[in-house]
Amino acid sequence: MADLVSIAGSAVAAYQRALGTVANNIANVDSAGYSRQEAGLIENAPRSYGTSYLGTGVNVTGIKRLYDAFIENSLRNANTELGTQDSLVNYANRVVDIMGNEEVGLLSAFDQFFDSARQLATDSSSIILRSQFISKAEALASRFQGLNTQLNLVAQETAEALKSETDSLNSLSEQLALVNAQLGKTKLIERQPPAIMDQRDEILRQMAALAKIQVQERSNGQVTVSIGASSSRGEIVSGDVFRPVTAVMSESSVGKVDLVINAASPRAEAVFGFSGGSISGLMNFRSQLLEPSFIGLDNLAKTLAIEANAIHREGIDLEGRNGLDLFRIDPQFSMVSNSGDTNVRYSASVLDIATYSSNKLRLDYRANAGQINNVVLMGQFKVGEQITVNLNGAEKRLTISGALTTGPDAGTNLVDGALIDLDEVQAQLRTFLEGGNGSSVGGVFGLQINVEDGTGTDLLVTSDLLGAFNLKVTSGSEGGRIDEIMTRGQWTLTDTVTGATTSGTKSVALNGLQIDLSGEARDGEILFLNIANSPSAGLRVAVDDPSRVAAAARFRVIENQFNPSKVSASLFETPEDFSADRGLWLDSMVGDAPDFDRLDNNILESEAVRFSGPKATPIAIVPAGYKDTTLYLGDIGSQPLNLQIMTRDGRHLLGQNFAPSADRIEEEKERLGVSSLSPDQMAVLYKEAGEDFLLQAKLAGVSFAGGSSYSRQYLNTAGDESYRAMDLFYGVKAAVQEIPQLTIDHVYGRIDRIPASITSGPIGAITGELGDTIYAEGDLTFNGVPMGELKIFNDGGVARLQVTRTNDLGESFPEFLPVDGPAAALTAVGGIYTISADQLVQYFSAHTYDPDTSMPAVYASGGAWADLPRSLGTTITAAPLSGGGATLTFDRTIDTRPEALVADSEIRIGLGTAGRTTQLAALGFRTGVYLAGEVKEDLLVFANGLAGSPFKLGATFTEGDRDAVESLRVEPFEVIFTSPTAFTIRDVLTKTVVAERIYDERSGVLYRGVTLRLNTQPAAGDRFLVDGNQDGIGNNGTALRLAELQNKRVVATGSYTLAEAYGNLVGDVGNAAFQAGISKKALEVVKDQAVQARDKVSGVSLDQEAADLIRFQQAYQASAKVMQTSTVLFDAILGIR
Amino acid sequence: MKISTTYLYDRAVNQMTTSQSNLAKSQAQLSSGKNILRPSDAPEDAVGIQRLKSVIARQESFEQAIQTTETRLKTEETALDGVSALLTRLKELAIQASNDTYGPKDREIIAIEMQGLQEDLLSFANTRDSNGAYLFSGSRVFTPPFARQPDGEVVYQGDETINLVEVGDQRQVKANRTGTQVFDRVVRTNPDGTQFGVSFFQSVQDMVDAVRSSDRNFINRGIAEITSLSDSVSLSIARVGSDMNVVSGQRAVLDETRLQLQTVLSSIEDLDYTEAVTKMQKQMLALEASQASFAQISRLSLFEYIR
Repeated sequence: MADLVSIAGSAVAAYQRALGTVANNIANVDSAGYSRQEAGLIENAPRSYGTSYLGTGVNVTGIKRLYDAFIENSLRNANTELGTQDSLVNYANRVVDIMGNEEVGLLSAFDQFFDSARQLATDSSSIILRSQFISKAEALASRFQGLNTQLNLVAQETAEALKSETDSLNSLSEQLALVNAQLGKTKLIERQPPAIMDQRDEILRQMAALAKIQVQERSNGQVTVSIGASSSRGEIVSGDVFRPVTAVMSESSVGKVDLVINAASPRAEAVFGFSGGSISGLMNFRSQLLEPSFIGLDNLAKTLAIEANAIHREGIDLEGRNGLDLFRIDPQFSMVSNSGDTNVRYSASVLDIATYSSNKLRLDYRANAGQINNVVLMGQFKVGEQITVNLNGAEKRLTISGALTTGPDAGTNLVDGALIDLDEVQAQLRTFLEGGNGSSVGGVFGLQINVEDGTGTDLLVTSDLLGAFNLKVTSGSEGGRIDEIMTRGQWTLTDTVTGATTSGTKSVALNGLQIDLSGEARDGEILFLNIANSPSAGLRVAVDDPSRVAAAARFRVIENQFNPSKVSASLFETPEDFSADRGLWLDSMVGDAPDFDRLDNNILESEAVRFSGPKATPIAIVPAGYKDTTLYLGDIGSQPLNLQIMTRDGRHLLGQNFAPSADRIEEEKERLGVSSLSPDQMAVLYKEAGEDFLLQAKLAGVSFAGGSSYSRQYLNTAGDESYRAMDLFYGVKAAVQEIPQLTIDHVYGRIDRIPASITSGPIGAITGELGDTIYAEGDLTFNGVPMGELKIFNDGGVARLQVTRTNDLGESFPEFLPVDGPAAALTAVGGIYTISADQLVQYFSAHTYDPDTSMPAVYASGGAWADLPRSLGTTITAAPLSGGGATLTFDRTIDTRPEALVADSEIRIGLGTAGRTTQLAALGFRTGVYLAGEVKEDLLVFANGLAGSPFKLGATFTEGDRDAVESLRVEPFEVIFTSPTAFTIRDVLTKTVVAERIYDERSGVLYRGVTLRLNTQPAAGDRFLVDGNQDGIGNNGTALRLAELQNKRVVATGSYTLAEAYGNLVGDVGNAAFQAGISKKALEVVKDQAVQARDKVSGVSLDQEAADLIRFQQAYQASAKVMQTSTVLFDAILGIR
Repeated sequence: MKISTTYLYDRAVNQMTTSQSNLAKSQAQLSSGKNILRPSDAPEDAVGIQRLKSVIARQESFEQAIQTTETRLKTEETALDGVSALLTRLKELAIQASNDTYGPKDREIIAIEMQGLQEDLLSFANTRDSNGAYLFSGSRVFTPPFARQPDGEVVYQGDETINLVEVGDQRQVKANRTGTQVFDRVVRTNPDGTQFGVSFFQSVQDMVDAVRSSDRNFINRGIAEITSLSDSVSLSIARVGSDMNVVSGQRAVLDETRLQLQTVLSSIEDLDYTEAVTKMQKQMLALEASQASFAQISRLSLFEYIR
């Protein structure tokens, strides 16, 4: 009986608890994170009665929390994935809606801008249309700014969102740490209060939505949470300790966001490989969508500015001036000094939009360092003198000695005490500076080099010409003086991203940006310049005056009003492309090409190009714009080799006549019935041979102009008759040297001029037999005078040297050498006479004018001596060499007469029309081509001759670039039709005929980047003047080109138009958003399933609880009934009387 | 499978929210008449729409250019018609003057009238457009194309620039004729057979002088030259006419192009009302169904039956 009561008692107690659990479940049906609980019932241990066992009731083992760790984990993952996409989709759609909006986006603004250019083209002189054009350009620029502002807002918003989400994460971490602390009070997970476990899981779920977390559970239910790729690092919660996470935004790049744990503490830890969750979604959005959008927008702004500026600069405005930039980019800075307040003021402007970058800049000031703007070496230095150079504390003493290293006479040894000039000093310094003793930038000549100033502070010394160094002359020098202009206070500008640096005292330039600095700076002061706006935000219209809009083209054609035909002409710009022979340009001829060793402005003969033999194709090309170019032949041996210089129009400018074949000469003699041909008759044959050469060259693929023809009109001409007033010379030349003025801002009044002087190498054996002619008349020219015949004359059995001089009437006067003394006899060795150096001096002297003896060069008509100033003051001396042989030296005093020409002070030994380069070689000279000043058009250099053995070509030059089109503006030309099918082109300023061509109506007249087209057939006598459009304000050429920019593919190396590129930008963001949207939908389903799976286990269903309620209630009632029954039974027993 | 009570309610709410937002979108589409409400709804289409609009805007800009060009061509035509009439009158006078019945006095009177006509020709040659720019001076639009020098000679001061105007994609027309084209030269032959050009106004002046001095040979030469000058002016008028034809032809092409583009644009951008209304009906039905079913289902609880 007692058993029955105890069984019923245990059951009543157990079902009471079970009902309590159900009630709790029902109560928490809507509680977040609540897991359903179940009361566990178990049968009590039975008691044995003999062989059988009797049950003893039921017992509650505990309240079980229904929970599945695996499902919980997958729910967290689903939360993470969804969180990632969710934030990406939201913000990407924002960006698409901004950029794709018609009122905010760029497309309609581009349309309106180009439309206004097109309207301007319909009436380009209209001020109204010009103003409209400017206002549409401004609208476009402000649309760029507006978009930039909008994107910046998104950037700020996402930055704030990142901050708030990391804050949420940190607050959850903190809560979790508290929960962990609670859990830590118990050792077993089964004993943990379910409410705390639910709280733990709810916190973890929320954390997972923010970031992908790794969770490690301990046996007592405490969890360790980490973020990032490695589970051993990146712990944010461990036990009751949590570590806050901070999102650090990079200043230089929108896309760069770093997560740092414990940022404030010294043991800050960067998180690597972080992914997943809404924080990661935000970071992805910034790096994958927002930053590319900014970059794309900036590139578009830069491309627009670059392209539109390039066109606009080529235009002409309403007042005939060249166009300026249409757009500019205004950078805005925020400046921070390391010392708080600063007195430094700065202004910045973008010089080069293409290289402009908005990287953060750092400026360092050093008061004691400085810059030497200028090092002037005055006068000359003597061999044996010492110059001290200090570089970074290392001292180098240079003794001026050794051989000449520059010029055509390189290799000549100098005698101690001989004067040496600046070029040689420079060359020696250069060797030292290039040896790595220079600066941190590699000691490259001409760059800035830091030099110790003796006080431990670096001192920057630079010079335009000499590079950078500290110079002083240590031994006395009469002529040599070194002056320096020094500015103290040096700024070093550093790009904090690329590390590039540059220095200057008042103004520094880097990244296409120039920064001018003023105001008092402290020594050691550091300024940080942050460019606050990207290029798209800084885009502005640079033209505000409508009349400065350059709508007109640069050129126009003017028909001569007396043209016999009724043809009318139009003009187009069509840039010529000679890139096919780019490899032959002097600056390109370096390196490993098989045909040559090196020709990069070489100075030493050993560095000259080696050619295998003469060629019908050019061996080199001197491009237009090159200055002071000298080319010389070396190692020609006994080859009859010549350099020939031609223009691309077949104008033969320098060199020798092309030789007709012997057969052709005979044929011509026969045809004319003469025994020898006159010079005029020969000229016809020379021209023929030249035409033949040109034809061969054209067949060999040389880029001559289409339809060009050969002309020898300007062959070896000088002075007024020279080609386009260029000073070109073939032979050997020495000029007056002027000590260069190196000053930038400091001008010296005096220019030191060193007289022209030239010394030959060892002269070769010049020999002949009795009666031989050593030099025919005109083989050589000397300072512009043809030299007379030199002959070993048989004077009644005595050999004498005879020179034949000619007066200005063409009368010949033979004389024995020396002309100013008694005739000398020659002696032969084995019948061979050798001409000595002294005799050569006599021969040359016979063609000079000596101011001391008043001995003139040639007879004037009427017997008087002609005063020939062009030979004034040349002294010729011979010097024996110690090892035998001799050299010749030519010196010329400077012609100081006011009317003197440059050539009047120069020494020029030229080759006449029949002279040979071997003759100059025998005199110890190398034949050279001297192109003084700027070369006005491309010159092709040919080497022609008979033999095929190797020779060398050397060159010195100053590189330059001549804008064919711009130069044409100041050098108009005239096209003159000599027949309906042929025309000549005449340079208007110099009256030079620069081309004679066949007219092809399909291609028109293409000359120097412009094409002239005629509407019908021209007639002989038609003339068309092409000039720079100085006053053609009604022209609309540039406006049309600006309008055409709309359809020009200028973005991404010619792949897209501006509008297309913008469309792609929007499309890219749009696609990303679209895809993220799709995956978001898919992930919602995944999460839904995960939630459902969790609910299956842990969720509360009221129906289920109702069922349980009934079940437990009935069991409870039944147990109570058992209890009642036992009472009845007990009463029954008690009632037995 | 167990469905928790919370899940049941949450899902029902979610479904109804989705239906409602779809319905709201359809309603917005219907009220705006646009297929795409925000670019983010269909980024590719949105960009496509803007591209099409850009092309259409360009066609409109071409039409404006055509308008300007037509105005200019009309001004030129008017001036040239005037020149042509003057040349006809000049020729009549010259033929009159060549008549033997006229004496030197009569010819003097004719010469005076001819001189006046030459001045009129000059003023026609220096016609300006509405902006005050000279029509026939090429790009030197602020310089009168023809100016009388102190010695009486009329010199052309313009240049040969012919401005092209874009009137369509890859389609440009000449917007002007230069003075030398319209007021053409005549070619005379020297006794030695070589030829040389004589300017328009010089030729006219020579004839006036010939009439004044009663030089019959030169009057006859002048008549021949006037005929040739007249021809070249007529040629210019014909060219202006053909340019105007080209321009108006181009206008028709542009209209056609624009219409086609508008059609394409409309098919992408504009809403198909039938479809949209049907869709909305469907969505409304779905919403109503889910609301009704939820109301029914939510009543199904075991507790209802525990009495």
